[in-house]
Amino acid sequence: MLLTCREARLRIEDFCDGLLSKAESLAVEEHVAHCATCRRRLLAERSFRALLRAAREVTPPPHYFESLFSRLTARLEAEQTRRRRLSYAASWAALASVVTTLTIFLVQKPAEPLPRPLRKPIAAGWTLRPQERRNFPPPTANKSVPERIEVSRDVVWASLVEQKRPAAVEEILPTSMESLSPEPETSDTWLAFAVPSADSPSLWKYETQRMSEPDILPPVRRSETEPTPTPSESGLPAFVSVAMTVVSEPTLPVEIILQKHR
Amino acid sequence: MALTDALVVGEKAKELERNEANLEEAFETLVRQHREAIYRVAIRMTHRHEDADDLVQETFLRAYTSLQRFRGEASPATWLYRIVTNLALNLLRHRSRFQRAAVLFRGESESVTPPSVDQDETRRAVQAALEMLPPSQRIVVVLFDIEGLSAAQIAEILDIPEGTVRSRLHYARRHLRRRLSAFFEELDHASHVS
Repeated sequence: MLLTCREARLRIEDFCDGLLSKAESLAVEEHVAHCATCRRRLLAERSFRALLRAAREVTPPPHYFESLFSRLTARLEAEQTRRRRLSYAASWAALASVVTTLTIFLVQKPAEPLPRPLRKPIAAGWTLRPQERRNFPPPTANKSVPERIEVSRDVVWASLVEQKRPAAVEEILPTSMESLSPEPETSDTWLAFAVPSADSPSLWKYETQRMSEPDILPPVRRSETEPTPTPSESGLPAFVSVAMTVVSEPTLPVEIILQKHR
Repeated sequence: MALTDALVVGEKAKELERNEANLEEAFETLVRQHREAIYRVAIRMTHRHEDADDLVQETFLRAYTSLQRFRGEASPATWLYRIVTNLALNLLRHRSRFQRAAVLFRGESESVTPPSVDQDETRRAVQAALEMLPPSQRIVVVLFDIEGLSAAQIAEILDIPEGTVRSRLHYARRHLRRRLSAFFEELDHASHVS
């Protein structure tokens, strides 16, 4: 098989990748043996591949690889300890929740229901406070202005539990006890704002940021768009959903969905 | 009878201990054999050592939790590559979103270039060129041209058709040839092939 320069050129990449048949490879080899230009092209392609292969060499900090296994073992042990503690604490919390609920039921009249209650109280003594719900304004008609929404840490946690997503709860449990405990005075503030989605003007994208340590990279790694396609009478979405990822440790992402009905 | 029961319980306890010891040994072997490769993928995808370290640790921790369920349907390397690849792509997706959010919040760019992990000028140039690629193309180049995996293996790792792997590779290389042309004799290869 005799190849023209153009045909040879088109086959050089596959030739270097070893994708050509034996006959085609031989044809390329024959062509470059006689064509100086295509030979240089082949050499250039080989140099390019060698350049990329050189990036195999990496220089992590000294003793990085040697210490990796011991660091992994330490993390596994710490995680197992946390799980044990949390399991113990969760049992007490569940018991306390039952006792509290019974006390309220027996002693008090039920409170006035919210105008549009979203969901039932959640498990393990956590509830979504009404005022927290009201802190979620719907997006404004002016789509170019970001809308800031304050979300406190316990709402994030509560929402997670509320969704009854065992996998997510399971994932956050090892590190959540300290960082997401219900202590109002240490509650973090999460800011979210709505911006129109670039994909579709009918969708809203919610970006979030933890504001307690504004100078440090916040542990929010993801914010996602939940479609809000239901227009209300005023043309605004009837409800908005905020999907956030809370990273209580950089390696433990958890998806959380907060929902606000108008 | 009681003695027999005690012996059975004792045997089971020993078996459990043996299993735990085997699991730990298997895990240590897995880490020792694949730590460099997983770190290479992580660092070439993220550029920052801290991020790469996070990915490496998370990859092996996830591997550990499913080590007992691992039945060898894929090779351990493919399995680990798949975990680190998914984690890296997620991280880059989130990083990009966070940077956009930071720009909107503060009205300034957060994309500060981290200090390079490469001492060598050529490797620095390759890393810089890789970062100009979309993550979906970058991972293909990293796995094929740097790690030496086949298109079929990459297709399995990324769960995409092999043809898509090849096409991403082609476009990524075309871009890289342009960016890195100063480091080798190029002869306008890319523009003619495309």
